[in-house]
Amino acid sequence: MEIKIGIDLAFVAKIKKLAESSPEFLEEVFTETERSYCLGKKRCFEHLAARFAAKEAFFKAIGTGIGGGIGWKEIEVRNHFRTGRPYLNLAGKAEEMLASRQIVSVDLSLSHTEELAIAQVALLLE
Amino acid sequence: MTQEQVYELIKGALVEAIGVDEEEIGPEKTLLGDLGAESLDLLDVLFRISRKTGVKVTMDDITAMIQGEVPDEDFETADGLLSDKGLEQLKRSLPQIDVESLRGKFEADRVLTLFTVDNLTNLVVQSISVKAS
Repeated sequence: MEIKIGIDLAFVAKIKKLAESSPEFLEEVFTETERSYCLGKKRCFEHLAARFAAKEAFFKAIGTGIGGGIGWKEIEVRNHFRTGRPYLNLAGKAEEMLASRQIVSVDLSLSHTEELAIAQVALLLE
Repeated sequence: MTQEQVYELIKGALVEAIGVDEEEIGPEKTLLGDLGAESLDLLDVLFRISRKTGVKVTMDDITAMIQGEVPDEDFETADGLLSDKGLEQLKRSLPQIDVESLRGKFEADRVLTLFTVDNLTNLVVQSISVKAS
């Protein structure tokens, strides 16, 4: 067994600035589920920043980096319907990589304040 | 658009997105290193370029340009360093690099840190010309 982790920190103000100056940012980086979850919340940019950090943390954990062929929207943060606990829903190349790298478990943790959002991804390899 | 016009446009995008002074920007400056851009800043820059040129350049386009046709497993060694094939590719994609200074000690996943303003200018010019043809 081997564990690979990735961690990322995002400035909420930067996410807000980019979302406002380039509305296509929201469309291109976040899935419809993520957008509808975050944009309905009072502190929506904190939630978006946490999700952006989660995507970057996944890139770091899996080791491809950004631009390594995995699309932003192939890494989606969802929340458990009852507990609200966040988890990653992977698709496309991100999902394929789970199998090719023998990853048996993906865990995600998020936290955010008015200024910063942090995400940690842990991958458990067979 | 000419190379010079694209360069000026990119300079403006960098000033707006990263908040660096115009005087700090030069063709040889690396985006993630010298100019201190983070991935979110780079996305911001690419969105701005896209709006001003009508041509979409993505992070995948940048890494594809750097890595060329060399597959991941050939681009890096088992230790994660740039392989000989990877270094040969860098000679073509990032010609400003002294590849010998990287041999045996540069991690392949840091290759994006070598990407300069000039490299981005060339990529955008190339994308504009592909779109026009």
